[in-house]
Amino acid sequence: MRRVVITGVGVITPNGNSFDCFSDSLQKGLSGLDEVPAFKKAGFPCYIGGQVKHLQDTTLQKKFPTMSAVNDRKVCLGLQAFLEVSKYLPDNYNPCAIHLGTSLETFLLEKVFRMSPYEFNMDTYINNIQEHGENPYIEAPLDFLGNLISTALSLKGPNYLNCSACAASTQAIGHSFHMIRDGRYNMMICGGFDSMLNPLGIGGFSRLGALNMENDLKQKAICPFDIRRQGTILGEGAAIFILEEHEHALRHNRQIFAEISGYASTFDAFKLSEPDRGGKGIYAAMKQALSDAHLSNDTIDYINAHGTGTPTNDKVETIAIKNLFGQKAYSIPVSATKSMIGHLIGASGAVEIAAILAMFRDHFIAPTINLDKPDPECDLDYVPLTARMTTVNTVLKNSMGFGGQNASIVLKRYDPNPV
Amino acid sequence: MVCSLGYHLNTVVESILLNKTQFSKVPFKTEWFKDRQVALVSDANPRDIVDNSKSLRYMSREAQLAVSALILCMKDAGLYDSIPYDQNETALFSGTGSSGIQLDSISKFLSHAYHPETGQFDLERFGNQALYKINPLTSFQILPNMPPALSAIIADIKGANLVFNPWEGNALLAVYEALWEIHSNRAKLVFCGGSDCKTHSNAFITFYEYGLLTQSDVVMSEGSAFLAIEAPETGRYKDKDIYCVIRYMYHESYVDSRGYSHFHSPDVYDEMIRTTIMKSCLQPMDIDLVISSCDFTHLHDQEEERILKKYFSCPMISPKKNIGNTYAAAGIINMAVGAEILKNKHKVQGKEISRILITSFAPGSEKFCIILEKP
Repeated sequence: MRRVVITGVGVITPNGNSFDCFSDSLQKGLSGLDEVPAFKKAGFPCYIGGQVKHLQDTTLQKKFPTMSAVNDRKVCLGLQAFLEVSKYLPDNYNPCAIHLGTSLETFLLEKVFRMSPYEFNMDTYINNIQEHGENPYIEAPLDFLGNLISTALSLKGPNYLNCSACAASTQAIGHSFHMIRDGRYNMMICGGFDSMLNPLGIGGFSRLGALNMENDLKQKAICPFDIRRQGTILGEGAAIFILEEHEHALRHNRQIFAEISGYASTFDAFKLSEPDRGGKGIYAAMKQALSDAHLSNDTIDYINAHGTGTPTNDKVETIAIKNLFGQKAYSIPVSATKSMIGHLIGASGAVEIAAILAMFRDHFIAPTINLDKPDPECDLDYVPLTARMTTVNTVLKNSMGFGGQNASIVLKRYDPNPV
Repeated sequence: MVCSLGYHLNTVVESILLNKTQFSKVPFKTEWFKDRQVALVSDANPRDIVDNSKSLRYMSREAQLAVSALILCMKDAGLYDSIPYDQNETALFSGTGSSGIQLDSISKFLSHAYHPETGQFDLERFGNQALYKINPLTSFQILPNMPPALSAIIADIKGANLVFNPWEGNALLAVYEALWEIHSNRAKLVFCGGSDCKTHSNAFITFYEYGLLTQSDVVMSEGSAFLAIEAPETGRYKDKDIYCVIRYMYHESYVDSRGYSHFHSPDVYDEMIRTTIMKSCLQPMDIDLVISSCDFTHLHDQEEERILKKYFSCPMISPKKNIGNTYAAAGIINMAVGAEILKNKHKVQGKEISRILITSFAPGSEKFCIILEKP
């Protein structure tokens, strides 16, 4: 069977604008969350967010002139991550496919009123578009980032865009792994990008009751697996990877960050807004991913949880882990990267996989910060508060999407000569 | 399949072959687009199809159409509430359209989002007033994964899944990936399909901005289709009647940096058709019918027709001319039309059809040529 390895990573998150910075922040347990001044001033019910600082818009505009067709924060974040990962691209990368994950289109409210002030009128809007000429799209299609990357690299391969909410980028990476393992490609560019830090993003999630509104808690507003958890906090970011077939990577003398050995996706088929209370969907995804990797339960030495900090999600994920691993579940470290960066929705899986690569490289397990008072129903080893300096070799990563889509992926420390 | 000509596949195909249409005026107030037509699904009410019709209130129009089409597909395949099958080994791959916020549905909230003096977007007024006018259900309705997610809940499908977005070709990737999923023994049965709703005001604005509405006579449409795909040697259908065999599916990608409205070089499509025929070990004369991806763009349609006529002398149909352009659902609908023609022996220009070539060269980077044939 063909092996699949990760040979490049680019990442931008609320607590680190590069892979090295991100790793450093994870080891120190640094939160990237803060008040978003504009949302605070505007009286939003939740104004804590994981905002990326110092995004170099001008540099990006110079490198990707056609990005002026969008005014979409998540595309900028994706391009920033792509710039970092592109350093790892070999001279000859074709044929190469793209598979990215994100959640939904960004709707430019500012533009709506710029083109049609006061009460919205469609004809006024179109007339003003005509008059003012070039403008960013009111909402850019989701495959726009892939098109920019494909054009920049003159790629000769497809541009896949998966939009399964919070599971989107884990699915994109997992599916890319299958595409290489099946012999369809030797190299793929994959990952995720997203930003919900816009009025409709924060507004929509607030109205759903999914966010913690206790703004006074500031960075502690998201506390996965803690008894006080009341909701998640939104963030933004992107992570993009180069995946390669193992022999191909060796032939080209590539740096190898990790190996992907298994992946599966499932549906809860339960309810729209909440996971199956018994965690059957994510349980099945984990079980099938291990089976796909030809690994037994006792090989997993760390689980990177979906861990959103919502009351139901953390409990359900804990139940699923216990059901799958039995008594051994209590000895497997499980941590929630979202405690430091917030919930990056469509980008969450990809950025959390970048966190796992950092843990492999720098020999640590990232903590679940803000876990001061563990929920008795969440009684696993969640690596509370501080990072653990140790070596992990085989990691399971979970993602659970709004709407009941789940994904689990198995990553291994790279071993050139596995038993 | 659900489209503007109904939801009984047999009668829809008969209507297409009789060149019937059912178009109407745009369903929203506009001077700019008043002369344009839309193809609304008016005769197929999702409430007649979905047993638990209460759940429909959570759904966008696109999701309602997707759920309806999937249930019709499952019933047709004898898999809905009758024959047990392994839900965990059943995958659902689909393509959805750019969801779009239907401006009509958020007009109340927009009215509270601008500064009373300047008329421009006002974040403070948004935070204090407009935010509380957002219907929480809107969040369920705008996520583009909702059509398949809701379909999975209603149909109790629990296996592998992917949701491609937002073009015709991206939805056909669902079929392409279904074939790989089966080939790699990761799924025994895959429901794959597409859905889209492009009949609302925001779709018109968005597509106008993409340059897809300016120079063409496209009829914006809505609809959905799902196909049940199984390997003949492992599928339940070993001894049963099947619709058709997917003999070959050729996939190419062409990203055009100039934007979505630009027509690729005709050479690209010429090469794809030539390669499809060659790789499927057929001759052009073996094709009895072509279902083309005609998208109402004058240049595209003329060029596609010219290239197709270079290879084929058989009849050609373009369902988009009858049911409008359903965008993300259009390629899958064309496949469903082809499958129905083959299964129920619809005659085209008096001739029985054994093998069909379907093209999908619509906007978006992913292009397909598919050959369906009688089992």
